[in-house]
Amino acid sequence: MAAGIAFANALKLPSFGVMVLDAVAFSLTFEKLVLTADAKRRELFVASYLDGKREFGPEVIQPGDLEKFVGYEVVASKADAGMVGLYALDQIAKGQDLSDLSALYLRSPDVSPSPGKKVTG
Amino acid sequence: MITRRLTATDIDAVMTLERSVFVNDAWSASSMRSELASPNGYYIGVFDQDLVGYAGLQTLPGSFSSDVQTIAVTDSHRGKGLGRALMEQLLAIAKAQGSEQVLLEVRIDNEPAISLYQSLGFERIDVRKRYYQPDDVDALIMRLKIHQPLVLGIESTCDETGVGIVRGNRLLANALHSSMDEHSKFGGVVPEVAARAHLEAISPTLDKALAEAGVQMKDIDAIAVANGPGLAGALMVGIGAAKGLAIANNKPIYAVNHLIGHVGADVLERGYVQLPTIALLVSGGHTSLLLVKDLLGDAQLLGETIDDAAGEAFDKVARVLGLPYPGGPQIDKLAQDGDPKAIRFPRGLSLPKDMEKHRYDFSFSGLKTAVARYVEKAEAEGTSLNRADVAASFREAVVDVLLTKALNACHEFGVDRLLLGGGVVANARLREVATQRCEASGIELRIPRFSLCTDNGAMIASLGAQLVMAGHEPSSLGFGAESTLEVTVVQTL
Repeated sequence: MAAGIAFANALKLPSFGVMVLDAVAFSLTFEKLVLTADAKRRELFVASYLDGKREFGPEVIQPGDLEKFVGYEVVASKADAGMVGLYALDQIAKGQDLSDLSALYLRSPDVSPSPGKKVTG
Repeated sequence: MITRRLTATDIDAVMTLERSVFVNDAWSASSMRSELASPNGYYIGVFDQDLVGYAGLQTLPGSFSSDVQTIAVTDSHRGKGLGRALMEQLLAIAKAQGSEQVLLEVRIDNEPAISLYQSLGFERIDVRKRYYQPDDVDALIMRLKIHQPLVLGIESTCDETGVGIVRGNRLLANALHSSMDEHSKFGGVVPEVAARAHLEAISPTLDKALAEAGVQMKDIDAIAVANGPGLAGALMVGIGAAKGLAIANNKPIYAVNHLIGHVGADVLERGYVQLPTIALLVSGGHTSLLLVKDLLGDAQLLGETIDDAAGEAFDKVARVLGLPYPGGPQIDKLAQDGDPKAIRFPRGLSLPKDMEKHRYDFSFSGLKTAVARYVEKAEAEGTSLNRADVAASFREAVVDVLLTKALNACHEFGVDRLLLGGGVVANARLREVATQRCEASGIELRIPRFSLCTDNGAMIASLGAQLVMAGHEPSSLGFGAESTLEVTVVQTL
């Protein structure tokens, strides 16, 4: 994202944000599709699509939870930059708003606030 | 034939040649000797067994301007391009030193020399009447303008997103966004929080730097980025942005060492950095002692912390005393009313046995524990605790051990110069004691302004510019984040 933002900034080009699983789904033609990506820690990033429309996700789930998607084609996502571009082109042509460039984090940073230590005197 | 830099020990050979070439107006041996020994001078000589040609350049610190002091080639070696070769070398040195122009004067009747200078790009700018005596000849003043590179630098090694722009050794912009406030509730820098903050800050900070410098992206000659040492996730954001910029505009990119960037920051303060120097870099992420002989090629890590960084120790002790993050300024404030000698806290790695193995290393973990124990004991025994004394005594222990080891290094390596860098330099007591001790030992102390001491993009741009000016090749796009980058690696190719 940093490279893309900087690239656009340098050339004064507009920049758009794409949720990568949407772009991969756009490149496939399944009626009922679940896309998964490795989220590490034995978890998966997942989104599901019905007739090309996202109906669930993106979320982090346990691999066992995939069983809930009965009748869906489960595909491990393989994304490339071309897919991202083609999807963005299609969506912009259809008047969709892709202007949100904030990162879509699915987990919070691994940290908890420090209680600190109170000393009086 | 051998070309090398001349020193004061070459005085006899230089004077022999000087007297043979400038029969009526040779320099005296004493002024020649002081020229050769001057830190502002750079003399080169060509040897064909004997010295057959030499030339000298003078660059006054902070002037961004060099003067050709002299050039001479012995009769037997004229007409072989030696003069041109000497001049070209002087111009390369002037460029590397950050000069934006080179001036010279030449006898107006010396047509071969004038045409040589013209072919190198020098222009006539003035005539000084009857300058050469006793021959009573006018001097022609000539000038060559040097284009110094416009370099944009990106810093994202820790919690500061910095974008700086320099032209050669001149500072044009130093834009900064800090995510420090976001870390305060966690009591220290959280790598993932820092990385996320960099991503949000990078584009606005870039725009701010360009506006501050009054330049456009297309004007930039090269991009520089700190690729380590630092937090991997944080580094990746800066590196990604730098590569994006470089590819978009087809500009060369230089991946540079963050720590050497700190040492080079002084270039932006006074136009050059005086070397060799001992450098003490103290921040929340680093406590490093360096011996730097050449900014671009000879830096040696003498020692570093074996546990907490000094800034971290301030944060941890602040927490023990119930003070908010970041701890440095809080402790500095509280310590103002305390007695630094009230409690003798330990000086890490200062015992004789430690000094053998860890002569220039630091340790602050034991000190932090000693402070915590002291506070706990007072609480358990119900005795009153003078927090100001604790803060002052702790601060004194940190400052004492940092400067004792830094000054030891100055003495033992025979370097009479100490440069401070890093955020902990904001500490009033550190600056005070450093000033006192350096004065007492005749050591020149350099502390760049605070915005150049803390992590910043300008120092990265400056180091990139130094590499460009010295003619180094750019990095390939294949470099990555190096969280433990060694200080000996100035540039990752």
